[in-house]
This record gives sequence, structure tokens and C-alpha cells, in this order.
Amino acid sequence: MDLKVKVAGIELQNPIILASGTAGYGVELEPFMDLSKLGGISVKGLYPYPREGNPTPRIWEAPCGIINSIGLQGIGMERFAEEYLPELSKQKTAIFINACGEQDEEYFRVAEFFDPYEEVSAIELNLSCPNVREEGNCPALWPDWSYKIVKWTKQSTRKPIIAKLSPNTSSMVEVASACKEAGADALSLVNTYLAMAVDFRTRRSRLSTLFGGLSGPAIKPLSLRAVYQVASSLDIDVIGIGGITRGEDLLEFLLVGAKAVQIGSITLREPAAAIRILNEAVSLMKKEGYNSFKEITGRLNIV
Amino acid sequence: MKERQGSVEENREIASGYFSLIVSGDFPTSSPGQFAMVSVSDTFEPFLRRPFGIADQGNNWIRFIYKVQGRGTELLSRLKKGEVLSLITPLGKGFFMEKGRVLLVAGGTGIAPLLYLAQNFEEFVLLYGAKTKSALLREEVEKIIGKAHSLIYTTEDGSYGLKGLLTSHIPEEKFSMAYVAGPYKMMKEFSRIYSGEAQFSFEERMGCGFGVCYSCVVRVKREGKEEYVRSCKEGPVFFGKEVVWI
Ligand SMILES: Cc1cc2nc3c(=O)[nH]c(=O)nc-3n(C[C@H](O)[C@H](O)[C@H](O)COP(=O)(O)OP(=O)(O)OC[C@H]3O[C@@H](n4cnc5c(N)ncnc54)[C@H](O)[C@@H]3O)c2cc1C
Ligand SMILES: Cc1cc2nc3c(=O)[nH]c(=O)nc-3n(C[C@H](O)[C@H](O)[C@H](O)COP(=O)(O)O)c2cc1C
Ligand code: FES
Repeated sequence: MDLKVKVAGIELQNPIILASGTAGYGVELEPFMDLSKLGGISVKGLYPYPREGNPTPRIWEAPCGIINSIGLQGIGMERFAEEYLPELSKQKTAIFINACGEQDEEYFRVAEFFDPYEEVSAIELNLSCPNVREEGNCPALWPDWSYKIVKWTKQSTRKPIIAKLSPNTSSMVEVASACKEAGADALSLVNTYLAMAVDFRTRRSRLSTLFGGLSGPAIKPLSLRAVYQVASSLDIDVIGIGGITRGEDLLEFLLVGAKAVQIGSITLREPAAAIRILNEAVSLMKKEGYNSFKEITGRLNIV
Repeated sequence: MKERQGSVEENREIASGYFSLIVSGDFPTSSPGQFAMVSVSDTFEPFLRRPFGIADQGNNWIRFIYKVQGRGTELLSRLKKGEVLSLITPLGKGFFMEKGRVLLVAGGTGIAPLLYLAQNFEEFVLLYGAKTKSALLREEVEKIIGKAHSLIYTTEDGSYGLKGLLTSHIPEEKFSMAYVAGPYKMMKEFSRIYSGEAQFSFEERMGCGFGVCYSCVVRVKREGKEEYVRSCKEGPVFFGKEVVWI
């Protein structure tokens, strides 16, 4: 069976990518699975500099999911390149850098910094983290803001640029379209849904911040819809993310138009879930008589 | 650390709301202070595993002592002998072993990792506090207490042992090390009062337990700089002198 897929001009050995922020810097998962069996890994969000993140509590459980407010704690691009990239690049899998910025030019700096690293396959611009600005604001809520960042960073590197979008806007398709126009090679969606959890006894938020981001199986139907809307309105590669926990979920995301998918929260519960999901998808395809993932992508029948 | 299946050997209520869980299976060896992430549901409700300190381990079995707190521990308490559960173990860095006479300080379920730790010392004083008499796991403690050991019980309501908070009964004596496990507030207060060297075992809210999500951070000061570090990787045990209490 042909497991290969092509997304943003890169060939992946299969459509499974570990989502950013739920797989650390990749190497933390080495004890649990053979990372070389994955299509790719999107590492934890990186700024040009180390970043402290939000105070605790940073996580709260929601029905069939979690709400997080990590706030992009991270060691910064330089330390990542020195301390983790050499080890991670021994794995035969595509490495995606999840680039973050407080100022717009910081996305540019991260993308530019990784340009010389052959082992990095693509830059995924995190335009959509809801936990670092006031009230969940982020570039991916605004077509103009997203356009500007994508356009700029496109000039900083020869690597493909993937814009990671937010579902917390009614203009998601416009934002997607702006990113495409600005030269994005692919889009990944979705990031977490802006959410809240409060304790009526203490009358406080359950998190250190007022809002957090909801992820996990709870959001799957929402993200499936988001992926469908974007993939069916624009001619650009889409990576589907949100609540994927089984092989069948993966195939559903492909069906509505995704070229590949990312596996997020389920990894926290089951560190080797990505491999299980791949195996399940492959046996389902065999059973239904498909020979490649490409035969499924975008083939939803609409009456 | 590995993800392994095991089967329930014992899941017994040892005091009202407190359970002893023994899981049999081929688990990698651990050291005191390390913990496991335990599956509590086959469905996604609740979604995450639950962290528990290892209370003892032997050939082909591992033991936990837990208190029923919420949904996850409630589900756990219903497991019957022979039922299967998944463990990721051992996780984190355990206690650093010091020689000589040591002080063990346990508040509530903090007793669990200390029962495991205590087996390594020839001489110790155990200061163990709970809210009331019924929450003191005396039977468990007395099994491991030998002649060279002494034991101080405290209860907040005075229903057993010394009355009041555990931190009002810290022995004056000098110890080579204090090992402290329990609620954050108790540990913070202990660190304020106690001047000797101490190690603290933290119970931070965890997403994964193996270092990928950065939920579980504790604030520390290293080389003059404050930072958040993952308690599931660099902890859950930290030296008192590096902890920044919040
Ligand atoms: C390293 C470590 C070791 C621990 N060892 C023990 C032990 O030996 N015995 C024991 O009884 N308890 C221990 N705890 C606390 C135990 O994990 C919680 O009591 C348990 O997760 C509560 O789950 P619940 O579903 O019943 O509660 P809920 O309140 O329904 O849980 C909701 C969420 O909050 C988290 N949570 C709730 N209380 C705590 C807490 N005190 N600490 C961390 N996370 C919490 C849960 O894991 C879950 O993600 C330990 C915690 C940590 C981090
Ligand atoms: C703890 C946590 C941390 C995350 N960190 C990042 C991040 O650094 N960058 C990013 O682009 N997305 C981040 N995300 C979002 C995920 O990559 C993913 O888009 C989202 O969780 C939805 O997928 P899921 O439902 O499979 O988890 C994070 C999510 C979680 C739960
Ligand atoms: S609990 Fe996920 S990093 Fe510690």
C-alpha cells in the first residue's frame, strides 16, 4: 500500500504529523515509539528567544478534552537548534518548526534562522495561539495581519511556509485566502478553541489566565467542519488538526479535504497514539479496498 | 519509562476514602519519589491519566496509595481484582538519598512516596499529619517502623496524636536531610520554618507526565535566574534551596 502523501511540496512517508505543543521537542517521545515511522513532527512553538510561559494552573480537563493555557513556554530557537535538533534529526521523519512571534518580525527571524538547516522540512507559522495575547487575540483572527506575516516570512526562507490558523473567527476562510495570496504553501488547522473554565466556589478561573484553548476529541466535529470549509473553498494544501484519536478520524479528515493530519492531545494520554492511529487507518483502508491515501482525500460526496 | 498493562491484584479501602492499589505486571524498576501515570478510563471521560507516587514496588508488582478526590480516583476505586489498567512508569526524578538520620514529613497522601523512601533508611523520624484520625494511615506506617525510628502523628482536630498543623510540630533536632511530601501550602510553610536541607515532592497538575506538554511546571531559581521547569521531568522532587515558593 502507498502511504505517501505530498503536502506543501514535501513528500511525507505517511500523513501522520505530531502536532505542536503536545510532542515537546520530539525526543521526549523516543522511549515510547519509533519516531521514524511518523510522517512528521511539528515541534513545540519557538520564539527567537526563551520564553517563560504562563503561571500555573496551566491545564484543566473538559468533557472529552482539555483546556490549556501553557503560554508558549520554550527554550528559544538557538537552544533548540543546539540541544534538540541534532538528536531529533537522526529520526527519518520530516521536522516542522512551529514559529512564534510577539512582534511580527519575530516570525521572520525564526524562519530565517532555520533556513540553513537541511534537516528542517518546513516552517509552520503559529498565527493562532490563543494564550499569549489579551482576550485570545492572535494574527489568525485577521486577514490583513496574517497576510503581512506570511508575506514577510516567505521572503526569509526557501522552505515551505505553513500557516496555522485559528477557528476562533467567523472569517476563517478569508484568513485562509489571505495566507494563500501571501504565498503560504499550506495551511494547518485548527489550533485550539478559545474556552473558559471557572470554579463557582472560589469564583476564580480554573486556569491562571481567564481563557484557555480547548482541544481533544471534544473539538473533532468542529475542526472537521473547519477543514472542510477551507479545503473546499480554496486550492491549497490543508493539514487537518483537532481531536483525532483513531484511524477512522484520520480518514474522515482526508475525506473532507486534508492532505495530512496532526495528532495532538491524544498523545498526552497515550504517548504512542500516532502509530496506533496510522496502523488503524491502514487496516481500515485495506478492508475497504483503497490502495493509497490519495484515493480518499477530498472525495466527500455531496448530494 | 514504558507504557505497560497490568492487572489489579488488590484495590482495597484501607481507611475511609483511602485505597491501596497493587497492580501486577512487568514494570521497570523505580526509585522512591518517582511516579506513574495511571489510566482511569477506557473512554475519553475523563480524558487524562492520573499521576500517583509509587508507594512500593517488587518483582512483578507495583503499589499505590490514593485518596478518592474526584472523577478519576472515583473510577479507580471501582476497579476489581483482575481488571486491566495501563501504567506509564517510572516517571520523573526521585529523592536524592542522604546518609544519616533523616526527617520524613508527610501531609495527607504525601505519605505514599515516603513509605517507599523510608525503606532505605536505618534511622529516621517520621512526622505525619492529617486532618483527622480517620485519615491517618497508621497501619501502613506502623508496618515499616522499626526500633531506630520514631513517629510523630498530628491531626488538625486533635483526634489523634498532637493537635494542630503538622508544621507546628517540627522536631528541633538536626537532621542530615528532610524529605517532605504533601500539599503545596504545607510544604511552603515547612520551608519557611525549617532551616536545614530539605527535598520536596510536588503534586502539580499534569497533562502528560512525560515532559511533552509543559503543564506541570514548578518555579525554581538556578544560577541566579528564576524559571519554570517541568515537575514531571526535572521533579517531582526538588531541593528546597532552589524552589521559588509562590
Ligand atoms: C507526582 C504526583 C504524585 C501524586 N501522588 C499521589 C499519591 O500517591 N496518592 C494520592 O492520593 N494522590 C497523589 N497525587 C494527586 C493525584 O494525582 C490527584 O489526587 C488525582 O489526580 C485526582 O484525580 P481525580 O480525577 O480524582 O480528581 P479531579 O479533581 O476530578 O481531577 C481533575 C484533574 O485535576 C488533576 N488533579 C486533581 N487534584 C490533583 C492534585 N492534588 N495533584 C495533581 N493533579 C491533580 C487530575 O489529575 C485531573 O487532571 C499525586 C500527584 C502528582 C502530580
Ligand atoms: C498543551 C498544548 C500545547 C500546545 N502548544 C502549541 C504550540 O506551541 N503551537 C501550536 O501551533 N499549537 C499548539 N497547540 C495546539 C495543537 O497543536 C493542536 O492544534 C490542538 O491541540 C488541536 O488538536 P488536538 O485536538 O488533536 O489536540 C497546543 C495544544 C496543547 C493541548
Ligand atoms: S505533565 Fe506534561 S510536561 Fe509535565
